Amino acid sequence: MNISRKLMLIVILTAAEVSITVYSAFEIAKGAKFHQLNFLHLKYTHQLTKSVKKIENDLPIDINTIESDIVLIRQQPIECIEEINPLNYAVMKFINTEQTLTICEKDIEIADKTLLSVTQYKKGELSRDDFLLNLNVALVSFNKHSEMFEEPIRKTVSFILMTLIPLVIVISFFNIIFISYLSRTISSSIRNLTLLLSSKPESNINLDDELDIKTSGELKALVIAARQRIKNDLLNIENSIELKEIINSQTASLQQANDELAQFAYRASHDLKSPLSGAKSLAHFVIEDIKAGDTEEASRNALVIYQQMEKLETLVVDILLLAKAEIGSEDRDVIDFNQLIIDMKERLTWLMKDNPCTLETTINLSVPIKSEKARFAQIIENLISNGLKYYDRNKDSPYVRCDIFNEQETFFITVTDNGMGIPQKHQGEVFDMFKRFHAQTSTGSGLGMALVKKHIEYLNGEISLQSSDKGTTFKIVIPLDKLI
Amino acid sequence: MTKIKPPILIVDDNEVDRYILKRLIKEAKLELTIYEKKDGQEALEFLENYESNRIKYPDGFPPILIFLDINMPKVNGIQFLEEFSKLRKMIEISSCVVMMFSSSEREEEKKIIMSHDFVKGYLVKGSFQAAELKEKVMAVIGQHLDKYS
Repeated sequence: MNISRKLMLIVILTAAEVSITVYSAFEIAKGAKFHQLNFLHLKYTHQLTKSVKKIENDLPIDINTIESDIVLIRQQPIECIEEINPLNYAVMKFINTEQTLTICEKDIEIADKTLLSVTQYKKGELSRDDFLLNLNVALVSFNKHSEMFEEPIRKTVSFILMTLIPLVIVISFFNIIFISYLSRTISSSIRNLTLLLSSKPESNINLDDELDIKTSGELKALVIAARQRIKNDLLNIENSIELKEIINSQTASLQQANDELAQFAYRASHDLKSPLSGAKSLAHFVIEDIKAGDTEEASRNALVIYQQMEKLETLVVDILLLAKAEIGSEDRDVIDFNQLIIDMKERLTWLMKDNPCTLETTINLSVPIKSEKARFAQIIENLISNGLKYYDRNKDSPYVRCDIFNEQETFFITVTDNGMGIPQKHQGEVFDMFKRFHAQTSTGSGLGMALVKKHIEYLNGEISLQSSDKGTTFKIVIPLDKLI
Repeated sequence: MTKIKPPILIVDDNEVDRYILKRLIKEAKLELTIYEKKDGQEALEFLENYESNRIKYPDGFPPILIFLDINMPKVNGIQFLEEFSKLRKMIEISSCVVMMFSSSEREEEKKIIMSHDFVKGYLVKGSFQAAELKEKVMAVIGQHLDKYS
């Protein structure tokens, strides 16, 4: 039973106890009233007796006094009947004292008869002796009724006392016991709960199950509500921490992107400006040389200007490619890697012409690869041209080897060479923009590997490198689902 | 009397820029012995081999002026200045000063560079002519030119 029901029961019991007590008090008071009425009845009967005695002693009949006495006598049984309610009647019937009512009714009847006699006497329809006789008969009855009345009233009152008081006592007793039991169970369940909650967390005790077993009713509801609330609060805290972390990491990545962009802008503008300002100065020299008639120097410098412009063009093209690498294209088609290699070799003629490296390519694909051809062309060309550029003059048979193949769900490109390798301390910067590690041999924009990295990131792939003085291997891994 | 040409060093990875500087020096009629290095590392090695280079170039070592580019592979201009300031404490090159020769005009870089007291000037590539170059070079090493001549 939950606490509120227990408390409600106590309230009901207490209310019953109080009402029974009050009722008993009323009933006892009623008993006293009945005695009082009987006393009055006797008193008025006595007055009437005195008047009748006067008549017997031949004194003149004071008819009005007699009449008023009878009216007074008649009043008590009327009041008595009015006092008795159905409950009293039921009780009286139960303990066989209902004759009280009969007594009262008879008394009223006799009083009525006597009053009729008074009227008859007044009219002269009744003789003085008959009237006197009637009065005496009535007096005997009144006295007799008074006597008879006492016993059932006493019986009834004592019955009420004997039954209701023990009932009140029993109910009070029960109330006391029940209230103390209840207060003990309430305080003990609160104590148990407190103990359970303040106990050290142990792995072998499941708090949820324990709470489920050891609590009930409102306490259980309280615990459930509190737990839910705490859980929500914790969740909120967790959420806000998570949110903060997301903001922090996003701010950091934005900051990084911003820094990269600033770095890019600086390097790009530097690398764009350098050949331009060089060409500008050279053009100035060419003019001077032509003026001075030194056409040989002039044409030499004009050639350098041309080379500078070519360099500038390469750089601009690479920057554009880099910008494009971030944007997806709808231009997806099945890639013919054989043709792609042939085209690439044609583009790299300038580099391969005087290059001692052998270039070997293998293509081993079990599924057609569908993607943007330009990305793969740029990836493969950059890796292979780097391998060709940075070959090791001290090695007998320099080579660059490119393998394109797939295994189950993964697409691979590996480019291996036995070139001069990338120094350990620079390996982390390979994919940074504008990084060149071999001053003498470098000709490119310094954007090639950054471009490769961007393409691979776009394709959800990864690129790794292994490099030592024995050579370098780049390994590209791209999930096939991006390429079908 | 044979005229001794004061030695200078150009450190720049860009061949074209080195050519332009040499040509401007020639146009300015500055009589100098010119050494060229392609990056900071080569330049440092050149200076560190102090003893042997002194013997190798009896009248032309160490250089009295270094034209220094900033953006270079391996050891860039800023890194070179760091190393060079240490080197100055160890060997007899305290009379050697540096003039920057770069296309970069980044304020934060410039601040770091100019904090070295031996950096005496900052030339921006493509923004000066022979006359201007002569003026600046004379301001820095004029007394040496007098001494050598």
